[in-house]
Amino acid sequence: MKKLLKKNEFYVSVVLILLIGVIQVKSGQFFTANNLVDLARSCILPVMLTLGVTMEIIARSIDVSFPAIAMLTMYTVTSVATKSGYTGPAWVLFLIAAVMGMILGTINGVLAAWLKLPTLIITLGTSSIYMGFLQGVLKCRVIAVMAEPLETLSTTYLLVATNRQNGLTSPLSILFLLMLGVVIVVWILMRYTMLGRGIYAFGGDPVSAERAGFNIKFIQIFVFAFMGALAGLGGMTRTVLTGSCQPTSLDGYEMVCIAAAVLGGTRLSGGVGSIKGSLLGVVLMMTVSNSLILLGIPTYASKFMTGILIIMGIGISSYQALRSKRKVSGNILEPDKSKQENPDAKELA
Amino acid sequence: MKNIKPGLGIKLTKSTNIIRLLLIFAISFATMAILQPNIFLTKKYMVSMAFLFPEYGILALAMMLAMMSGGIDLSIVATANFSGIMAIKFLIRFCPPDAAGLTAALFLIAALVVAICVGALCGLLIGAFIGKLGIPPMLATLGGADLIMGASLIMTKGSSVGGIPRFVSAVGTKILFGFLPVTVLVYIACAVAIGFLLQKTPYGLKLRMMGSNPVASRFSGLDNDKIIFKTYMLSGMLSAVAGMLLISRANSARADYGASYVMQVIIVCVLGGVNPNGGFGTVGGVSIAILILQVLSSGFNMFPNISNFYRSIIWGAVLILVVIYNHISAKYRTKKLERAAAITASKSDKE
Repeated sequence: MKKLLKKNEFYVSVVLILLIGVIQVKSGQFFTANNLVDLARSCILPVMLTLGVTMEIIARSIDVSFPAIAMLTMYTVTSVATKSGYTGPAWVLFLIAAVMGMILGTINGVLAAWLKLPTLIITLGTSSIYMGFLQGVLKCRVIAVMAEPLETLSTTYLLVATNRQNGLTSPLSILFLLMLGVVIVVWILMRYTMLGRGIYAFGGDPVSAERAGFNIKFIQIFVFAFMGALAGLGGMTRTVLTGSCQPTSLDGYEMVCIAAAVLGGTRLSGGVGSIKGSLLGVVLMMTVSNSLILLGIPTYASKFMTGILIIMGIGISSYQALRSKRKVSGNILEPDKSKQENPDAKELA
Repeated sequence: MKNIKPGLGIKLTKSTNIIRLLLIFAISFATMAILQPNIFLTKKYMVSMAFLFPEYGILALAMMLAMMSGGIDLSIVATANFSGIMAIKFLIRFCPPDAAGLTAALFLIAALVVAICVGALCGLLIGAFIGKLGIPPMLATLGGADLIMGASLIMTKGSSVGGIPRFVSAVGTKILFGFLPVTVLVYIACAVAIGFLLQKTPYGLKLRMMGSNPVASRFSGLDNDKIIFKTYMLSGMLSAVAGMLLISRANSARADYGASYVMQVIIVCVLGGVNPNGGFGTVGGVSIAILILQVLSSGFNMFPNISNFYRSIIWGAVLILVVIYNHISAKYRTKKLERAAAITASKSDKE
């Protein structure tokens, strides 16, 4: 029980259940088939991206450039495919986007591993470059009619739910399966491979990880490259989900994903975080943003609400970390007298 | 032991940094002057450049303080807008629209005080997030920016606020003696105040100590939380001043003005020699970096066929290049120091 209370997932679940209770009581619309499917649909993209962000944060890195990578790859791939009248299978496009994203992410990773500076600053710089490239060099604009395979994919549904009361229908895109695939891959990677262990080790203490024989440069580059690949997939997912390519629609998405990961208990000081927690974090964020309308909160107040939620969620976990740290350093400040008067220690020094 | 001067090395690197910055400034200025002498070298263009830079220059000072404490403040623009909106709300509520002379001056000062108080409160809030809750500065200020911007959206219902008494923009856009915009005076006042705080007061020393090593400063008896509170409060107050300049130029207030400033301000700080890991930074360096950025940015404006979006590529590239240069030069310096240390060590061994 005590262990349960210490776990961040527990608190997030409690908040989530309370919130769902409030929404259900106030609107009576939460547990309807179409609302749940809508929620699942809105989770597809943030889950994919947040898992990548979680890996990065576990490895002590912050990436704000992945929305730019996603937008750049999705626009390039979609526009080339549309202009050339591509008719092959859609997964090839997804693969190309993932590889492109991976290359862009690798640039971030190499810079981060080499310069050893706050990754926030490096990725702010690359993000600015990618966005400038997208808007300046490529002169992006909305692609309303996409290549045929993408159009077909965007109308391929896993299931269609209907609300019995008002007859509204919500389809669940087939890409939900892609999301599940990403979750499984990341879960296996982080849990059962040496690389995943290395990411945790690097986040916990880079020096120890290096001494223990991990190639820390490779780990850092890998994490950024993986995020890039996920961003590429995410960008394509976005175009398919919205049914058109809106090149700047992901602006500001980094904050949602970072907040979701941190809400789920990923610690920014590195080394701590779980896939389960991050998934819960995403569900919480999406429940809030989906339910503001159900709760009757005006749209211009939504930013304030998400701000409060982010600060609250991050605050709880940070405060716990701070308290446990203060406990340790408090002991150092008032050391045992017996140790201080140990003559051997003085001689050794 | 008396012949060891610990400050000397730092002073030397500081002055080389400023010389380097001045060199970059001269080169970029000369390039622009040679490329477009007919536009660039006119008095009008110079004055317009001087008029524009203080807005994000003051924001850069705010960012510098946060960076020197080892953090970062991404909420500056949100704070600037929010305090601007509050000041305008105050003016619209209390001030007669046709005020002039002494009443206008008094109301302007009152509005400035309101803005600065609101900015200080925002800063205190963020300081509490960082100091009391232990949220990492980046997230605290990002989340805080959402919160503050959300508050301004609620205040304005998402639209822009107009109807400001005329004297606000009249003072803000005034150009003294035909060449000295009032905004520059405001910037100089802020820069001198911050420079004094950093160089001549205990707070400045404490800030630098905490920035370079928070654990050591805590164990030497400094109250880190108090320094954090002060730093973010100052940063909020500076942002509020920038917010007043913003509304006086735009003659209206909105929740989302100047969103691109955050990136530019970070570039200015890194270019100006502020260490993003904390501890180092000078007002002089940042001021020259602001001038460099303004010359480049106004310079690009002279070429109509360069799209605005290319600018973001250039800003990003400049940021990365400066970071790489700093990394290499720091590596070179430590190597040199190590070599020097090895030589003295071998000498003392011989003795």
